[in-house]
Amino acid sequence: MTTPALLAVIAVCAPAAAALLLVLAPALRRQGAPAAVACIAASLASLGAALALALGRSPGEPAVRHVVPWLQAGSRTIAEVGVHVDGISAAMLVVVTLVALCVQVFSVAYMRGEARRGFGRYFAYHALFLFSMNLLVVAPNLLQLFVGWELVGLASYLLIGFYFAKPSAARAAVKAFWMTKLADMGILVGLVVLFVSTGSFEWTATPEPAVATAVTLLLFLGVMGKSAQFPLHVWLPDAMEGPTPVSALLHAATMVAAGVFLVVRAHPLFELAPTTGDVMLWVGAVTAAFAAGLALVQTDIKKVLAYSTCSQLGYMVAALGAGSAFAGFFHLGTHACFKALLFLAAGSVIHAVHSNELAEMGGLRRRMPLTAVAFGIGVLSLAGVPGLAGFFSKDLILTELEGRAGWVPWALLLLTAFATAFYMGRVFVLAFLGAPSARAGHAHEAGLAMTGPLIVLAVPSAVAGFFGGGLAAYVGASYEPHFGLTPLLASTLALAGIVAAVLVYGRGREVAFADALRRLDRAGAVDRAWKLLYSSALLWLSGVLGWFDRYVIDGLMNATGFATLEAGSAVRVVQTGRVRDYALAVVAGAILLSLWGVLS
Amino acid sequence: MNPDIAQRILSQATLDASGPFLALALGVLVLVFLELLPALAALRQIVFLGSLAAAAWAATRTLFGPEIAAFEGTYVANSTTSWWALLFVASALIAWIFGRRYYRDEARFEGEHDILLLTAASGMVLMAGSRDLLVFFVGLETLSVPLYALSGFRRARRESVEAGLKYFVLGAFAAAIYLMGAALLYAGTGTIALAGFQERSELLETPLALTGLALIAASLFFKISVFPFHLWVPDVYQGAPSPVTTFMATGTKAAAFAFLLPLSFALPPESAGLVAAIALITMAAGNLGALVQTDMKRLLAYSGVAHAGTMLLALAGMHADPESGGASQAVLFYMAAYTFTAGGAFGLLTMLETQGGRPVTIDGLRGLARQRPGVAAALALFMLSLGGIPATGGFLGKYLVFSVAVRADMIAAAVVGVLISVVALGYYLRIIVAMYMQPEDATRPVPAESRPLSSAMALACAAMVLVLGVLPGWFLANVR
Repeated sequence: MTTPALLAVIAVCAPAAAALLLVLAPALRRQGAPAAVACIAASLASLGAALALALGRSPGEPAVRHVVPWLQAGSRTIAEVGVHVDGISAAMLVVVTLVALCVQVFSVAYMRGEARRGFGRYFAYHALFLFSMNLLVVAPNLLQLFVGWELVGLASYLLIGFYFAKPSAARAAVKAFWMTKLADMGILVGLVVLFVSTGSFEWTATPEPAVATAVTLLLFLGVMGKSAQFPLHVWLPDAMEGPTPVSALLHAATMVAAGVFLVVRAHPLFELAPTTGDVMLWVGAVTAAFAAGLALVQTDIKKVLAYSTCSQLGYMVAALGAGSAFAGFFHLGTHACFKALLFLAAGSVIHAVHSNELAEMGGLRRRMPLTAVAFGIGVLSLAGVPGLAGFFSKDLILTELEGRAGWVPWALLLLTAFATAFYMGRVFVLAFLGAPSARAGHAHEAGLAMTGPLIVLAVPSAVAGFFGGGLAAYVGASYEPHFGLTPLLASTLALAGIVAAVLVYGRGREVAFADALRRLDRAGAVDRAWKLLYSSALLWLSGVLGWFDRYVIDGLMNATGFATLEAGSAVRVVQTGRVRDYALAVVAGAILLSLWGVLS
Repeated sequence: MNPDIAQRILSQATLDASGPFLALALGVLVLVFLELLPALAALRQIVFLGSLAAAAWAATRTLFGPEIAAFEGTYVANSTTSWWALLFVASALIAWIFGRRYYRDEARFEGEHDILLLTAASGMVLMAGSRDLLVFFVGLETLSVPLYALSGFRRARRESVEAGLKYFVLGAFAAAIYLMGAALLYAGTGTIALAGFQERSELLETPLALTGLALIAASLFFKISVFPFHLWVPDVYQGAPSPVTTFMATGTKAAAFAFLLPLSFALPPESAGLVAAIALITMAAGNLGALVQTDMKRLLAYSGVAHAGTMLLALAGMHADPESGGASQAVLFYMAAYTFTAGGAFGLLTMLETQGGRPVTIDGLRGLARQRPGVAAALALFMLSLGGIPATGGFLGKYLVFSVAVRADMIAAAVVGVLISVVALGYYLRIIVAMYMQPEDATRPVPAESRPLSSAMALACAAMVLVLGVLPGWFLANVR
């Protein structure tokens, strides 16, 4: 095994070992603190391996692959497991492990109030998550990627439902599971179609154009679920029921980005299917605009960030749809940093004021200056203010979209850029500026365990954009920041959005169309549509199936069982217990066999 | 004696080939000698285990080498026979370990018990390696006679004596049928060597030879308990002492199969359909019979009949298409999985019976999971393996057998076989349900003593079942 492969294996296996240890040694887990130590140590090892791996690679180096056969049928290997190290997976590994480590350290302080058992369970889930995510990132083929994909889904379910005693959290966990599983069926079917048509699970497979379109559309269905694209996005806002650090790691920075990562990985496949690209372009643009609108009227700080995540994932998907894998991947990276930063800063605020509601905050900049600065950097970066990370990646996406599909997605995303600046400005004004609310008056900054990760994440959130060119060279793409009309428009709109937010909300006013948006939000049209689909079509179908199962299948089963038991009793009849009867049977059998031998 | 003959017989090749048998036979002789000197009784266990270990060691020496023929070709040692020998050693070891402290009234005859067990094991080794009808018969009797005695070993119990007597009468009957068959075969072909049959295959088509073959098959079918020769099985298995049942269920069946496989080339290819039909009927009879049992030993006896039927299906597949191969491997693997599964299951029943002081019934297992989680988990694993649930050795054995049938184009037989196997889950799962989902049997006595050796053996059996099911690669690569 070569050194890069070994490092990748370490990055995957360290958290796996921690997770296994915490599962197998319940006594250790229930202690709480040792679980956190094990988990964080594993993440450190993972990060170390990822950094060594990423720094040890020179740009443009060919991919390193180490696989072992997994499923074998005769002499043919159906699937392999292993590691695939190239620029993309190395960069992604660094992002994932870095954010995970920050979040886990932050969690030590944030979850301090938990009972010991819960504390240990929390970190056991985290270790499971990091293992699964890394497994996904280094996957050499789509099958292993899917295994990791399902495992991160499981970790997400467990962590959203961490406060499972709370009905809303349990419901949210089930909802997230249900929606993403529904979408994952697409991947499953897609993989089967891919395998049947090409005999492999490689993303470099080249099926017929029609098959490629079908496969990529099916894969994209899974992406829509995992990356919360309209109309499958409804689980993400509800997922905010989980602890805030979890939202930062899974539901902002890494897991939801797995969908984008899949498309980046399977880019050779997606390039064969221009139709899928168009679908992605539109889905991404619509999601971005729609979610940004809803983000504007949320009163819960985490929900704002959740819709913002949907919206930003929409940008990435649109970029991928336009055929620019690098733009999507670049934005994935910068977004992971500043969105994790925003969530952790929000977590710091929530920890201080014990509420998610923006109305309960206000004026926090004096009480929590460091958090305010960190959150501010996140806001500016997300808004796309020139010079900060989000500016570069977002503008690259907008530039890539120029002229696509009659400029409509471009215009939608440009509008979204303004809306993004506006709603993030609103959050900042409501939470940090103005007069403090009753609760916010007693807020104070938490210890280094919480502020440290904020500082660590604030740095890349601010400056990561300048490394775009380096990243492009690293993953084998090309990128040259250029300052044409689009970036000029976008940054003007971003600044205008922030100024407008300060002007409107700084004076305690409300925009005119907020009511309309609020009605839209309350109506929850998409949620309702799903509910209707579920309660009418699905429940009806399962009712029918249930009836069929109960009366026809079970009836047949019971009849078979009854007949079999009767036959069993019949067999008993010959079992007389008398030796002479048994001997008779032996003789009869021997005679019959001989007769057959002679007569045949 | 002519020194020339002596040299031919006592060559290095002969010693290598008959090593396992010699080790066991020597062990028997030493044990008999020890019986005469009560002062040395303490050495008994050491000699017994040493003899088994020596046999296993001798078997591994021929495990990967070429075939060695001895005694004028009437006895051979090759990879397959060495695997069989290892399996017999394992079977004897399992029976012996679980049999510790089982015999209370007969404790002072334990020396005899060990001698009989070891003699029977040596007979099995002889059967597996024989390539001659008479050598095989010697092996068969060396196995059977001690087993008759062992079945009736608990002479104070009526059931045990009855089982011994039944087994003896019917076994003698089967032996007579075998000899009759051998005589007819000799009359028809003029030889009793397997190699001779191969040379004069045209003579095998004569009615005389065919009748002889049919009679020999009938007696072997009796040993592996195939319909309609299986009727003795439930009575004898239930009545015999539990450790002996363990040995009979695993070892005897294996030994008969070990000879049936090399012999089966002599059967005409047209007989494949008949053998398949017998296999399916046996599976059905075994599974249906097991379905209505309440006594655990009797239930496992019927289940053993069904398993014999399943293995016979691989034999049928081999007949239909001799080129396809894999039947020997399938049966060997199946038998290995079955030895550890059934050996572990019977062993645990022996343990429960010893501790509870009465036969184990399904009702008696209720709520066992709460009282003795380890025993219940192991027993559940064995039941799942017997039922052929994936990740256990039993599953892979079934898979191999059915794929032999499929490769031989006996797809209908394979499908029916799989369907019949499903029936079996009905009673295997019933046992798991009783242990895990039903309220405890309040009258069950709490075990007074722990049985570390038996527990370790059960654990080892469970581990083997899982290893064969999860990591079969090495075995499949080396077992042919």
